[in-house]
Order: sequence, then C-alpha cells, then structure tokens
Amino acid sequence: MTIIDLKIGSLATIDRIDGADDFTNRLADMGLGPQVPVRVIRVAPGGSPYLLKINDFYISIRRDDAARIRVVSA
Amino acid sequence: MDFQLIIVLAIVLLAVPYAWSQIRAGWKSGDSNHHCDHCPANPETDSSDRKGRF
Amino acid sequence: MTGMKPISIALIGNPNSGKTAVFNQLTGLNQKVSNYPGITVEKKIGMGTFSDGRPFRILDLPGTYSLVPDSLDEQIVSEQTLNWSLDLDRPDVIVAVVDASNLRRNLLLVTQISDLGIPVILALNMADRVHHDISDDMLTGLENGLGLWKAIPLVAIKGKGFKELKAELQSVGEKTAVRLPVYAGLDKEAFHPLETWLTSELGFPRDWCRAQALRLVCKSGYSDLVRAQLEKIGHSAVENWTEFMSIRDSIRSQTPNWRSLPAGDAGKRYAHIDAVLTKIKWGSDDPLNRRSRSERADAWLTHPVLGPLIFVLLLVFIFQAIFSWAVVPMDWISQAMDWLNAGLHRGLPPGPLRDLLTDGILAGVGSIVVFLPQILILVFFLTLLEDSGYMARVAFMLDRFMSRMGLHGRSVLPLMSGYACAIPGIMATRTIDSWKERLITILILPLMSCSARLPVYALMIGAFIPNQKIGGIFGLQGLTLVSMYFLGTITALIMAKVFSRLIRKEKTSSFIMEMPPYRIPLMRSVGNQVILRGKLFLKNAGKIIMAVSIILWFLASYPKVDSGSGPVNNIERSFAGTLGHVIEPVIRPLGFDWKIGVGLVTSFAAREVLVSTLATMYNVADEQDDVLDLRTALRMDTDPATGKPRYSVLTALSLMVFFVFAAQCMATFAIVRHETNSWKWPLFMVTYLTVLAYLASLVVYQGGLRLGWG
Repeated sequence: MTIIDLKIGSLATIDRIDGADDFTNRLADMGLGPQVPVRVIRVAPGGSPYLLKINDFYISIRRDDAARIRVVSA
Repeated sequence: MDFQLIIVLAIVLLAVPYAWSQIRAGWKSGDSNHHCDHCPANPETDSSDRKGRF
Repeated sequence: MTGMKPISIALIGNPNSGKTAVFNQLTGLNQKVSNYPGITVEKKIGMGTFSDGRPFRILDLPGTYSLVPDSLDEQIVSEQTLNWSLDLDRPDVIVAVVDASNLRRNLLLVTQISDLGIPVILALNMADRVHHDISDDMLTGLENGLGLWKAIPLVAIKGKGFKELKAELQSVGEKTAVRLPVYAGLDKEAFHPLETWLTSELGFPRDWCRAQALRLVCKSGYSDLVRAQLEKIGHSAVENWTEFMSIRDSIRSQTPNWRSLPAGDAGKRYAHIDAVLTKIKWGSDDPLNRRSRSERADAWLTHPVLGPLIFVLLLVFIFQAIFSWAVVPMDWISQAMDWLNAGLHRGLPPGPLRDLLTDGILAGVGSIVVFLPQILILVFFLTLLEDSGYMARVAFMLDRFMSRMGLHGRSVLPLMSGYACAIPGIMATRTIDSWKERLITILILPLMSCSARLPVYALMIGAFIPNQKIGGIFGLQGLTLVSMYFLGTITALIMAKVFSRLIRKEKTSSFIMEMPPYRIPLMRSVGNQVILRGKLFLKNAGKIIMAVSIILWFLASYPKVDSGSGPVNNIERSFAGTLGHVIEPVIRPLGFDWKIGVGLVTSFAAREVLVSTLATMYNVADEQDDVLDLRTALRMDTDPATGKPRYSVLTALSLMVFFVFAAQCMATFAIVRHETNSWKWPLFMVTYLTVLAYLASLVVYQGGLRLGWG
C-alpha cells in the first residue's frame, strides 16, 4: 500500500520509500522515514500534488512521488 | 538671444547625457547586480560540471 | 573601542524558520521577510555593534534542510560550510535558527552543523507557537544532548529574547561539542581511506571528515561541487583529485547500497534527535490528530472547487480596488499639480523656460506620479498574499496545471511577482531547480503585466472605457483592467506550453514544497515593501522620466514655424512630429497615429514614458495655460482632415493589447541576458514578444473595424 491508496484524512505509518535518489534523500532529510506517522491532508485539483502532514509540518509532493512512499495503515 | 532660451537650451543639453546615463544604469542594474553562482545555470554556457540539477 | 576585530556570526536554518527576521533584529536592517519557503536566494551580510562597543558581522544564508544540497539554491550553504571547514572566513559562532514549533525536523541541520566544531547557539524561534512551556531543563537537555553552546527561545518578529541572544553572542567562547554517536550506517573500514585522505589533504575537523566522506561517496554532484570550490580558491588538493576518485570508486564497489546511505545517515541522526526530545519531553502529544488553524482554513482555501474560485475572486477584487480606492488620492495629486502649474505661471514671465517647466517637466512627470496610489495598492496586496502564506497554497493548487504547461508549482511566485515588476520575478526563478522550467518561466515573465504598464492601462481605460457597473457589482473599468492582466497571463501559459515543446527535454523535476502555516502579515514588513516600490517608482519619475520629458518637450516645440506674425509652435512640423510621421505608416494598421508612435519610441526608456510623452505633446500643442487633463485631451483630439475623433475605444484596446505583449524594458532585457548568460535568449524573448504585440494589436484593431466598432 502506498500514500495514494489511502483515503483523504487517514493516518498511516511509513514503511519504506522506494528508490534511492535525490527525492528519497530529500524526504529523509525532512524526517520522513520508516515508522514515521503521516496523515494525508488533501489532494490538489486534478489529483496532484498531495498534501501530507508529518510531525507538526505539511509538505506537498506530486502523485508519482507519493506512490513511492509505502505505508501501513495505523 | 533671449535669456530664457539660453537656460532652456542648457537644460536640454544637460538632459541628453543624463537620460543616456539613466538608461545605461537601468541596463547595468539588470546585468551586474545580484550575481549568482548557484542558480540553475544555462547548460549551454555553463563551463563547470554543475549542469542542471543535482 | 574601535579597531577591535568584529565577532563573526553566521545564521543557518531551515527555509521559513525566520532567519531573515533574526537578521533584521540583530542588524536593524529591513531585509524582505516573507512567508514563502526559499525567499532568501542569496547570502546577505550585516554589521552592528554590541552594547559593550564590540563590532559584529552577520552572514545570513539561504534556508536549507540539510548540508547535502538537493536543490541548487542550497548549494550556497554547502559551499560556505565547506569554506569554513577549510578555515576560510570561519565564523566565531553559528546561530542555528530553528522553528521551535517544528523542532524535530529543524534539528537535523543542527546536528550536521555541529560536525564543524564551531560553537553553535540554538535560537528557538517562534517560541510563542510551541504548545507547551519551554522550561530551563528542556533548554539544558537540548544543549547537552546536541552539544550546543546555548539554547535560547526567541520570538524574532516581536523582538523577544534578543537581549539574551546578544549577551551570549558577546560571551561566546570555546565549548567542546558533545561527540555525537557515529552516524551513517556505513562500513567504517571501507570509509577509512577516504577519511584519512580528507584529513591529510584538506585538514578537515574529525567529525566533519566522517560526514563529508559519506556525502562525497554518495553524491556525485556534491563531489563535483567540492572540486569546483577547491579549484576556485586555488587549493592544492585539486591536483590529487584522481586519487580521491579512485578511493571513492573502491568504496562504492565495496558498498552495494551506497546510494541510499545519506537517507540512512539522516535516519541515524533523527534517531538521536528523537531520543533527546523524548528525554526532555518536548513536543505536543499527538500533532497528527490536532487540526491546526491553518489546516482548517485550508479546508476552504485549497478546496478543489472553492480554492481556485477564491483565488480568481481575490484577483478580481484586487484589480477593482486598484481603480476604486485610488480615485481620491489621485485627485489630490492632480490638484497639487494644478496648483504648482498656476504658481509657475504667476511667478515666471511667458517664454520658453516657463513652457519647459510647465508643458515639459510638470506635465510629463505629473502624468506619471498621479499613478503612484494605484501602484502602491497593487504592491500592498501582492505582499499581503505572499506574507500570509497564501502564495504557497496557490503554488500547491496550480502545480498540476503548471506542470502540464511545462512550468512548475514554484513558477507561481515568480510569475505573480511579475505583476509588480519582472526584475524581482526573474530573480525569484532561482528557486526553480530545473534549468528548463526556469528558462521557460523567465521567457514568459514579461507577459505578466508589470506595474509600469498600469499607468498606460489606467490612462486608456480612464479615457475611453465608460465608468459603468455590470450586474451591479463589477465596474466595467476594473473588468477591462482585469482582462488585460488575464490576457497577458493566459498568453504566458500558452507560450510556456509552446516553449516546453521546443526546448530540449531534461530529467523530470519533482515538487517537494513545505506548506508554511498562515500568518497574519506584519504590517511593518508589508509597509516596507510598499514604501520601497513607491520610492523606486518616484525615483524613476524624477530621473529618467524627467530627462526624457525635457528632451521630448524640446523636440516637440522646435523648430518654430514662421506664421507671418512671428514664430509659433506647430507640433506636426516639429522634430518629434517629423519622427512620428516617419513611424506612422508602420503602426497605422494598428490604429496608432504619429503621437503614439513617438510614445512607442520613447517608451523604450521605460514603459510609463508613453504616458508622459503624450502629456508633454498635448501640453505643448495646447495654447492654454492650464495643465491639460490627458484623458480629456485624448478624447477631444480630432483628425483635422476628417473632423472625426482621432482615438476611439478600439484604439485604446489596441494600444493596451500592444502594451500587454511588447518587450519595452531595458532592465528586463539586461537581467535575462545576465541570468541566462547568453545573448540568444534575451534576443529571442524580445523578438517573439514584439511579433506577438504587433500581430495581437493588428487583430484587435482590424477585427474591430470589420465588426464596425471603429
């Protein structure tokens, strides 16, 4: 299951992030990694980007990238 | 010659180089200010290895 | 106490953590503070003196999440820290500015900075937004857990906590940084040769060596950056670079998962941070289940349907306000001009000097200054949108659309600042980390109607568009203005699509943007922006517009024609008139006469000069002593051959459309040349814009004539 399989508003825990590139490193820098809880807040008009909440902050990432974040629902 | 006309001609003659210097200043403000080595550079003219994105 | 060596301070922190606000408080300067991630695209330096007379020097760096640069606007920080580790401009103390309401994420960078071995003061900014008290035990826990010199809570925009911060900055000394656990889930044996190489060749501090070894192995872009930097400062290690490369390649071959090591390193650092934060009981219990006020507001403001609708309505409201709110102050300015004019007529004998002062300078400069209120209103609203955090939402809502158009969500802010002026807009494209998307954004930016075009639109609309209400709410004049902005914007998007097909493809970019919380904009900061823009506008009016008005007055007044009873003005036969008549055949199909032709030539100095040019020419031609109302003059102007009015609604529309597209700004041309580092792109830009302007005007005017609107 990945972020895009989650319903808007639902809570999940990150399992792992696929790939090893600038994108995954950037997410790791921002504190997104295994066991980190995440909430899907919103999807922009047109189905991308996604707005996610991690700890006390919000980030937006595009749908293709969101599909790389594997989660287990909480 | 009319006194006013002399002053007017002097002002106009001064205004020409001044206008030119202002136009040049406008050019320079765009061309030289805010130099940035770090921004996404034009890959065609950037000689360094840092092309495009990381 | 002069002659003392200044204390050197560096500010580092995440984007949007308030570094610039801290910088402004410490230096007393007024750098632009914003609520949009990545607004500081350059380093800034400020000076000051402490209460004991010791001078200090502060360096404010762009915000970054990590010392491993992922996007190019973060390189500047990496290069700076690299220099420090090579003992170049090494600061005495680093102030790590963190958003205290978001401490976990902000601390990653702090652990990376600690590797440098420079004393770090942790500035817990926005302390008022933390949901619990900040006890002394917590601060001590942070200091010990992270090896800090001191942790100090601050509220930078209110100036709270700065007495303590300044006291610490003055007394800063050496404090051994806590040795953090060895990060990076890496095979120490494998990395050992590289650590040794870095110590011997570059003299890096120990912890820094470890962290650098990891980054250099995993990021080819980073090792290129280090090499370029060493070359720039003429370091001898460049000669042994092949040695580095072979060490790196051997580590890579021994470490199959080397690409994901930075993520592993970040994970280890976060584990340490989490341990420290848990120990001091920092953080709210359940942030994910508490809906913040921003989140509730966003339910409406970024709603799939309502969100875009609210955005469009906001824009319409702003452009309405530009017309309706400015009426009264514009009247004051006109009255002041009339009063000055009357004074000059009373105080000076008739003659060329008086004519120059009234018909030339006063009419020319006055016709521009009158638009100051409208420009201030525009800048006020744009600053408000940005500082409140709304602009980041617009970027979020439009990213999908923008990427289809070959642009990027991050193109939104530069394009919107283009409504004020293309120059800062082009500067702001530096936050777009793909060259192709950045270039396209630059090329279309001049299509965003800048404030210099506002006087032209306002003059034409005021003169020819009736002041009626449509549907009882929207004024026709305001709507016409909005449609000019929309025309430019929509064309910009279409051109972006066209260019994205033409310009060579590169790797697709990603869009990771932090969504800042909504904040009530600081009126002081908004005011500063408005005043700054106003000053620039007036400075332009006092310098270039004045000079052009003087020259133009002369060209429009001479040579005098002998009418039998002595020389009189005949503007049609003046230098300016002759020039205008030469141009006229080219622009005739667009509905423009020779007067506008002169204006088009002079407007290359600055767009708004068209207005002052027309004002000067009408006043020269006019025999009366008063300053003409330019709008009335335009309406009353008749063609002596036919006796019909020279200009109509159609001419006004055609001229406005011409100004929407035409590239008439030297400074923009220059900055595009500079930012693209080529002549090709600015020349291309001017060419396509000029062709577009001519064709669009032609279509409007000729089409209108066919439809019988002339």
